[in-house]
Amino acid sequence: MAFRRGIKRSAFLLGLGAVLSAAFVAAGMFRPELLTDTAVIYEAVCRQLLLKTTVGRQALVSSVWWPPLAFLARLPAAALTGSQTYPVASLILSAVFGAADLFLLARMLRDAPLGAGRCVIAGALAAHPEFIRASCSGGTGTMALFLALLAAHGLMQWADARRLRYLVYFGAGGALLTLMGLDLILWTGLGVLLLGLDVARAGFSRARREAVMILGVLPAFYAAALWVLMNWLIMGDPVYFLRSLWMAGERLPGGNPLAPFGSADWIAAAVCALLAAVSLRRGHRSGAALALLGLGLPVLALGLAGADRLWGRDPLLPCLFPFGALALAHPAWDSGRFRNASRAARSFIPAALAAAAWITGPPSSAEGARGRGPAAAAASDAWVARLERHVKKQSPFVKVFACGYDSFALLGPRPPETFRHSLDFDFNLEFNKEARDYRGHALYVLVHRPEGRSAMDSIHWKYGGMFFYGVRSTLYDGDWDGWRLFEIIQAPRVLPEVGIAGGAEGSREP
Amino acid sequence: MDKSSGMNVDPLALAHRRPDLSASVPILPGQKIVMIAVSLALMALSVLRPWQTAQGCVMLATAFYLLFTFYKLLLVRLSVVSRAEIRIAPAELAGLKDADLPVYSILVPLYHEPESLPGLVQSLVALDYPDHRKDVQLLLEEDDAATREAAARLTLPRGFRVTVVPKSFPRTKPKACNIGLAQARGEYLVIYDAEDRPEPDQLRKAVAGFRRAGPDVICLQCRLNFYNPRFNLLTRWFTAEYSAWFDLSLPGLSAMNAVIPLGGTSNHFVTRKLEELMGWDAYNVTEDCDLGVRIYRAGYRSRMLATTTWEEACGSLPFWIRQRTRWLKGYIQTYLVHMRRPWRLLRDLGPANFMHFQMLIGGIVFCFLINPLFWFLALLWFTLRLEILADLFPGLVFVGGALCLFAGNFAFAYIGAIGCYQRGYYDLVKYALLAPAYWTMMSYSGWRACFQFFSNPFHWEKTRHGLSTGNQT
Repeated sequence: MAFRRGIKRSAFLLGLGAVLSAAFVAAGMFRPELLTDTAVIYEAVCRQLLLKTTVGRQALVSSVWWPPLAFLARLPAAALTGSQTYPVASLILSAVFGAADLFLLARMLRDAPLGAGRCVIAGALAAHPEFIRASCSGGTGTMALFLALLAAHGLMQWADARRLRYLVYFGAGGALLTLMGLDLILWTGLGVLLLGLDVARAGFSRARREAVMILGVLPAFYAAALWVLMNWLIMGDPVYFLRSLWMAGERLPGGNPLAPFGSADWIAAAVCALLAAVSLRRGHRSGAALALLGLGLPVLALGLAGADRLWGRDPLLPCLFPFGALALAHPAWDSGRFRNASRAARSFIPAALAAAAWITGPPSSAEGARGRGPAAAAASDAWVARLERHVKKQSPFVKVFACGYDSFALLGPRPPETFRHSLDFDFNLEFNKEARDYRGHALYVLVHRPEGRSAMDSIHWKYGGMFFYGVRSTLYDGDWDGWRLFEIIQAPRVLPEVGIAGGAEGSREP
Repeated sequence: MDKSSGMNVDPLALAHRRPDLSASVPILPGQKIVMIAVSLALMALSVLRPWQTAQGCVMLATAFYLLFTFYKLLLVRLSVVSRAEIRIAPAELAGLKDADLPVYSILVPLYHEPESLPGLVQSLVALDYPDHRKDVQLLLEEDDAATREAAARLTLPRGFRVTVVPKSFPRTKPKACNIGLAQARGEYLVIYDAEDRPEPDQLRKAVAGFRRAGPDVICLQCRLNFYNPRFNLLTRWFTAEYSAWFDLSLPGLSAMNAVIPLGGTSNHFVTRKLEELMGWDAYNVTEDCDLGVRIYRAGYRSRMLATTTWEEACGSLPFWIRQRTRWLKGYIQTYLVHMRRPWRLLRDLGPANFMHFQMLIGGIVFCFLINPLFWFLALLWFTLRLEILADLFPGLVFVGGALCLFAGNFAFAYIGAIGCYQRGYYDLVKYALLAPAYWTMMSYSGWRACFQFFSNPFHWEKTRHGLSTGNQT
């Protein structure tokens, strides 16, 4: 029966996917220098979520630069792998999605007139150095690529065949991409715009147009609404996660916006642009959807880089190669003067593109995720231990609030007892809450230099210039490898309940 | 097929010859003991370890919700992708010669529905099937003088006859159908309700479907939908639900070769096989669902047939609640009847179909019963922000619970919207998204069914039709 055959085929594909994933995980385990800070941060926040701490919940929803889905997707693996210093859950996730990317790409190429050439293209992606690194790094690049391909596949096929199934794929992909951060929210917005244009030109009745837009767009709106709701519930401010967009405070000047782009990116973008021109001219809807979505990647990356809001190549630019490869393979070429190009030639080009990417590699000048190899981890562990000894010289009862998402990478999933992660300080209350929670302790704040994505942490947009000048009730203490330590000045406490008006109680504190 | 008068038939044959498969005794003493023992154990645990007991219950319920959500999504996926239904191409239909068509029995039970008769006769006449091969029985109750008089006033076309159902306990539709079955002359047989409007080529499609399907397929279930979807908000929601169930769930079951809980009408049967199964259980108020399970237990199969029968959606809330109460009560009856000997059920159905049975029959009722509790907990958490509630959901249970609350509920409403779109009801898509309000009414009906199961298990709450006549699509 067809269902049984389907099960056998699915089992085979699942088995193959498991082998591929295992290979990526093994590569990540044996080459820990590929792991990034981001992987450690996601993993550490997952631990906090499983412990149901307030800071874990805050980390989940409070920044548009740290998407909730990246945390949530790791949770099952994090719960199963237990408390590890090595970010195994992150590695599993990136590996599984790496394998899934290859399958989805091969599926999307099934309709292309390439024959076995599609294996060459899928192989070109599999051999792409950036893709391999993403699959072994524990980051979210492969997951973002999968969702982007899913949404693109949905939109392309919908534009072509008008089948409901593909509209649902686009809706589901859009909803998940909405929970993957600002870059992909904007890209999803582009997809929604294309869907709207397509529907407007499709000659549907008004009711059908409405229905298509509801099914295609509502999931993304729903996901966004959930994010807003969670911010309201957890942070007390429905748009807290968006505030860093325009309240970045005083930061370091941005770099060259073209720095993240490599030569292979420009070639892929050119292929997309060419396909867009050909498809629009010939009214080839699926080709136009694919090409415009592909072209949207570098355009958005350039825009974000120009606004000093791009933190390396992830997640937009690594998606460009697969989109370029898909654009090359698209059947739209068959309908015009390009039909004479042989299948071999068309499948050779992506392979050549991958080879070029191998040789050149991603641009070294791009600010990527910082590596979190054993050496870097050992170095930061060493100075954190020194810092702990330093603050304990003043008092054995001391707490250091390490601010921002980078603190999760710095301290790992199991921070030393002296340290506390913190994402949401309210300095205007003169640290009353902290002083109350840690009565009798000496308190410190550890702030990262505002560079890259760290500049968007709440401490910087709430207290512009905090890193450089400190704020009221803090005293500069020292610099520690890109971090700055401030001591929180606390007034002597009064004990009205025992009626010692105006009396200091310092001697009563431990 | 020729039959003698049915007056001496036993409409309660199943209850008499296979009481273990009949709901004539709704709950066996052994089942009562198990229920009481489980309740007592839960109460004792609640006293001794209240917190752990609550956490355990929440964990089990969350696991069930997750499983149910993924199960539903799997069904939808299979429904839209697989060749889940038997589809008869126009060419194949055209190839059926009138001379090759067998006699087809059509049973139409009616009770206090005189106003439905003319429309019913008209739609049955409109069926594209030779008159001399139709064997239509209008099953009228002995004490329903109004409908009998209305039938007498009509000049019934060729192939139509009236069968009087003697007044006796229980007063249920399946009992009437059993009497009709005993007198059926056709090779195949179908049940229609009074307000049904089957697609004209449905009988021909069913014949072609039976001929194409294997010999183990003895039942074809047609899709059901409504001809009055826009009558009011309730009918809009009802339409979304039916579209999701008959177009996006049952085909998935059919694709998996799984137990299909039959809908109450437009089930086509191989008559002889149905007689072999002793027809319907006259004591079960969702006799169709029960029969769907018994078909599989006897080693036969049901499939979905791609043709639609249009019904009237109940547009009155009180009647809708009564109808839903009856359906859910019937699901409870069916579940308890077949779970009398779980090991035997497992052996009869096999592990996969046993799980389908648990999810489809027990799971749906369980879902409706526990939904209000979890909605209440969610409401408390959102309004009062009680941390103690979060502690009820330890670790991953919290994640699973949040996933069910935010993603699961949206997915169910979205499936309804997809169903509307697939049916071409584009204007209903937005109403489908308001389904959570509809689910509260389902849960109310679920609890009502639960109480009624113990207080009045065989009571048949009849749905009133004809409220929206004239608002046809």
